[in-house]
Amino acid sequence: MYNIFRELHKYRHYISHETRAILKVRHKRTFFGYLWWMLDPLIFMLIYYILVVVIMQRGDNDYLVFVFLALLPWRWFTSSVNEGVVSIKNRSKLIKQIYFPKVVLPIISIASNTVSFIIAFGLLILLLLILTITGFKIGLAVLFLPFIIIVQLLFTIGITIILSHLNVFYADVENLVKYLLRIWFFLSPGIYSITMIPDKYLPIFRLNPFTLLFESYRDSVIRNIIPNLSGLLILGIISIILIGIGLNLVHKNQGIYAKVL
Amino acid sequence: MVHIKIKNLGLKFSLEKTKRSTIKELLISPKKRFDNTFWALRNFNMDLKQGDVVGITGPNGAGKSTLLRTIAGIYSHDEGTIDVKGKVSLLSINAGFEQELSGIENIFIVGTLNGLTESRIRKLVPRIIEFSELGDFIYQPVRMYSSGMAARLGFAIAIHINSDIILIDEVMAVGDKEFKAKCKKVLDDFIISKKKIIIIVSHEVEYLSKLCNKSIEIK
Repeated sequence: MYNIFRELHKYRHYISHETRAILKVRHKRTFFGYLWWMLDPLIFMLIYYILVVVIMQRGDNDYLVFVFLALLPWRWFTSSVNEGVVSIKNRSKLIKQIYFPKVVLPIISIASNTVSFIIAFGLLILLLLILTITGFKIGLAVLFLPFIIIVQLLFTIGITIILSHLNVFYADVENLVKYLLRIWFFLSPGIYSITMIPDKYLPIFRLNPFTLLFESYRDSVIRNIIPNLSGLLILGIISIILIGIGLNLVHKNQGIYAKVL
Repeated sequence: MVHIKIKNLGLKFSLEKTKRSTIKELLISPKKRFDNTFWALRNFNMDLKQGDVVGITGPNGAGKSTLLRTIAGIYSHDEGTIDVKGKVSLLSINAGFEQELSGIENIFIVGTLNGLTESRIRKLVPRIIEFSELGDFIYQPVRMYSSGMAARLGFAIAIHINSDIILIDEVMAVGDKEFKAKCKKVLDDFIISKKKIIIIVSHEVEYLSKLCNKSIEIK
């Protein structure tokens, strides 16, 4: 384990340069260029605003904020997983040309999506601060946000590394993941409230990490109460175990990747 | 002390097992995965020390590239032992280039991909640019480069990485006559310095015999 971390530390510069490269390339050759960094999440939120407030007439901004606090973290998770799961398989050419710890590939996918998420989430918080003029209240509980985000990040890293490893051997994984993620979202209280779940299903429902994460984001931003810290702590520990498993899997098998791909 | 010690090295590609299989194939014929192993290299021995310049010859498919990739740590082996001491680099032109980014930015990407620190690369940049002879093209995206220009940049980065062990897989056909002469001079300097181990795979036996002090044939 120590060796894995030492190697990762050695390749940290590659992670940061390649992440920047991906982010730069994403909007290269577009007219608006770097403006897309802002435009992208703003358009995303605008679409939901039109859908919810204008078309569905759900009226209140509160519901919109409630939905965004799940949608933005979820978008971060799915794009990280979807890009990460193919990250090793799609760079087969590079893998055959040069030695490097392969685990940096899923980490780079997550890192670039994390930057996009932080910008999007920052914009949302900024909008909420502007809304405080109209009476929307933000309390001190927002200070728990970094903790919630870190737990979600750890969970994403754990899941993604393991899936990226499996996808080298079974290309089915990337297809299955796409559908499973969709089902997973509908099973999580993203666009509906947890109060709509019948009591007898609640214990199972609470086993879903995204029930915990979505509710935690809302606790800290909307309800201004302390989120379920022990739940988050447990999820964090499970995630760290998943990361450990994933790092080991990739480290042990990376010499086979070049043979298989 | 830089060295490479290889004893009874064996490396197999199990054609079915390592082929990426779908779950369907797995369910229908789970046993099939364990058939058909193909030894790309077997019972291979080699003992190299600092200053050695080795030419490797052999017919196509004999396992020359496989050997280089195994030494570089890209492939895991299945038999025997391999003990490599020193920083290894497999000279591969344009590995890791981001086509949309400039030559300069790619120097940092490829450099860090080879495990160099940012500050070290910053010091090397002027020398790499000079060696590559790209001039102002270094600020253009790599996708604008001709294949010769990209190869020149790749080679320029590769030789400045300063590895102890340099593996060369038939990449000498880079650029025009003058650039080739320049590459050969760099290689000669490496050889004269006697600080590195250099392994060259090539079909040009004559070229190898001039450069190398050892030669190995893989059958």
